[in-house]
Amino acid sequence: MAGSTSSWSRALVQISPYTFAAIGIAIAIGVSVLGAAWGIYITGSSLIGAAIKAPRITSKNLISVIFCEAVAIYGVIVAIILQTKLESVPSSVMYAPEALRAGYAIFASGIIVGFANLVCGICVGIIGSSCALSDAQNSSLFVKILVIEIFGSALGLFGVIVGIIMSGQITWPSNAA
Amino acid sequence: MYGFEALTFNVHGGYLEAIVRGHRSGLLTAADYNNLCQCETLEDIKMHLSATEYGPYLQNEPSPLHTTTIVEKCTLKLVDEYKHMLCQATEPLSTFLEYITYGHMIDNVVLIVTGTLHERDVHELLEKCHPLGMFDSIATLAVAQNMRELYRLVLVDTPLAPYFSECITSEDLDDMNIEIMRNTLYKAYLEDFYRFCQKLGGATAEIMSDLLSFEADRRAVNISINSIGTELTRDDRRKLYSSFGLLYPYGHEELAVCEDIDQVRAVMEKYPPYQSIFAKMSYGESQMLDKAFYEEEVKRQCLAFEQQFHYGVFFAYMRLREQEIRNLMWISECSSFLVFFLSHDVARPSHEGGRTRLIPQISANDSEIIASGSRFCRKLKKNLNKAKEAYSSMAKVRKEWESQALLAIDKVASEILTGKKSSLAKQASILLMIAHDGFSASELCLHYLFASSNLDELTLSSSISKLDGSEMLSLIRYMGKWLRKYERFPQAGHCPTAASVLGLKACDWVPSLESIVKYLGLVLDEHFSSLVLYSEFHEELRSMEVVMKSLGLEARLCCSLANVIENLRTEVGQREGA
Repeated sequence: MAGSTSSWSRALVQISPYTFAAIGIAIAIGVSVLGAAWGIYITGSSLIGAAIKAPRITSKNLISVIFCEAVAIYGVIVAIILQTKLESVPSSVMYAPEALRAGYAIFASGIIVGFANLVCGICVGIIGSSCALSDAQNSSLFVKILVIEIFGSALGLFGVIVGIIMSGQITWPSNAA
Repeated sequence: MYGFEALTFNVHGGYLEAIVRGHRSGLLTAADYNNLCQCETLEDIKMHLSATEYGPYLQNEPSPLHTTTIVEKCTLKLVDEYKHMLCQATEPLSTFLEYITYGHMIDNVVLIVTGTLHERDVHELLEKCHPLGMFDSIATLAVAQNMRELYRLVLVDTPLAPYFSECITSEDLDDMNIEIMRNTLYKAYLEDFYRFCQKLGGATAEIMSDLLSFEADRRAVNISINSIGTELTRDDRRKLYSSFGLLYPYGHEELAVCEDIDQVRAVMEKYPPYQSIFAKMSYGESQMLDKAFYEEEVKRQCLAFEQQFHYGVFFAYMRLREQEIRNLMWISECSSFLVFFLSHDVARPSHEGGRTRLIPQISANDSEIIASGSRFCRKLKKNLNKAKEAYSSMAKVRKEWESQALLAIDKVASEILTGKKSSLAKQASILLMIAHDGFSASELCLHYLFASSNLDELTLSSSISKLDGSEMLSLIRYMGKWLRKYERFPQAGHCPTAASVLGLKACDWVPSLESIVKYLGLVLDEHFSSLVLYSEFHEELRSMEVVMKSLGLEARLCCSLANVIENLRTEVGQREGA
């Protein structure tokens, strides 16, 4: 346990692991959805404006919006997985290291997924906006820019993978202790 | 923060940016310009334009089209697009869009004030104003007598009010003051716009500062060149330069003391971006400078579209459209001039090559430009300047004259023709000989111009007034040559029948002595003051005066002789009758 010299670390370990877990789950879903929404509005406004002069681009460029939406879905999935990992433990073992570790793991998993999806959503949104504008001028550019978007959306996937791996190791201390 | 505009730009500006990029894709392409340049009449132009985005605006125009109608409708399209964007825009984009039109407002104000000074009707002037620069109380400008009143009555309520602080004086408005006022206003406007863009920051600031600096530098060069030889003092000139741009401040110091074009060129060649512009022009040529500046400006405006999420695209698009409308105006003017020129069945060689050369085109995609053209004047100037591109066609014209002259001499030498035809052939050969010898290829082209019977004096005098010094000198030398020729060969007279009888078409295109004298009179009328002031013209004019005096003496002698002959004839007639 921490010595009496550092009061910060004493304060931190006195916080219930459920706090950290709950915040982690909130960040997982909340910040992912923020990223998705950001990306969708960036793409959507350019898409609507460009489609006035070039109506043919609308159906193809909805892919950019779908990629952004996928980011929000990742966030939802991870949040659901994380919340299934929450277990009640008796208060005697609530501050045991294993319980703290479980709490911190859920928190970290939530942050990983949330922020990875945030930047992924913004990235795909900006590329989608440029894709719509270039497609309106020259339709051969669409497929090439789509490749960039695919690479961009892989970023969110990385975050989800690591988050799920982290959450897979979560074990709360068993009741007998 | 520069680089992170992408995160928040689209909240307010995304839709409009996409719209302006859609409009930009509707600019005329190189293929469109090729088609338009092949057009021979305004109806053809209307037909080609109906396939582009201008179609709906031009389709309802009644048949006798004028170039002003075409330009007006195309400008209307630009105004509609602008108004649509302005009503969708929020701050700060709406202020930015309004800034773009202040230049037109300044032009309109100056137009009305100048027109009122020259006693024109206000309604006529209002029709000529650019629609983007209209504001509510613009008609009241006609009432103002001096700048203070101008400001107090009208301009204090307009967005131009803050620009007037530097130029309010109580002096009466006259031509010089109005030009100075225009340039002072424009300088204040550019500086204000520049400061506004800097405040916006990010990519907008960077791109707009590049475009506005180029504009400021271009205006500085034009002010310097146009004020060479006028009464504008160096300090006044320096006050008209904007306080930003590549040339500020050291370039401005040097430009303010320039007294001729080569000094301006020496100053500008120290700046690498402008060195490439000036390198395209050979020494002493200033006509191509405007064209080179337009080219460079269009190139930079096209580059503004390379980046996303900034306001520079709106500015660049408006300017590109205005350039396109200028191009359409020149194409229409040149084609209506071609109708005039072609109807005289001018020698074909100078025409095929001449058609596309008369109108090199600009498209935003290729960023080349249309050279300045005002109809007739351009052909006149080209011939007088012996432009290299026209050289090959002029060489063909020279060969044609040569062959005709040789043909005439052959006919005289051959014994087939007898009597009347032989004397006709002799006359024709003398005429062609004087028309051909001693004239350069470009002057031969001028024969067609002055020999045509449909030559409208008004157009000729207006285009003569646009000639500059060296061109006028060559024109006067040309006329002097004709006078001397007619003096040496008094037997050279008009042979209207030679063309039909002997097949010598060139005889129709030799200008007669009366037409030469008439057009010489026009030149003297148009440029009297400059001819008197500049000494280069004096010796030429004195020698021509000598020739004219001797011709005049001869004419008087001939007149009295003709009277004597007439009297004798009537006497003989009476005697025989009696």
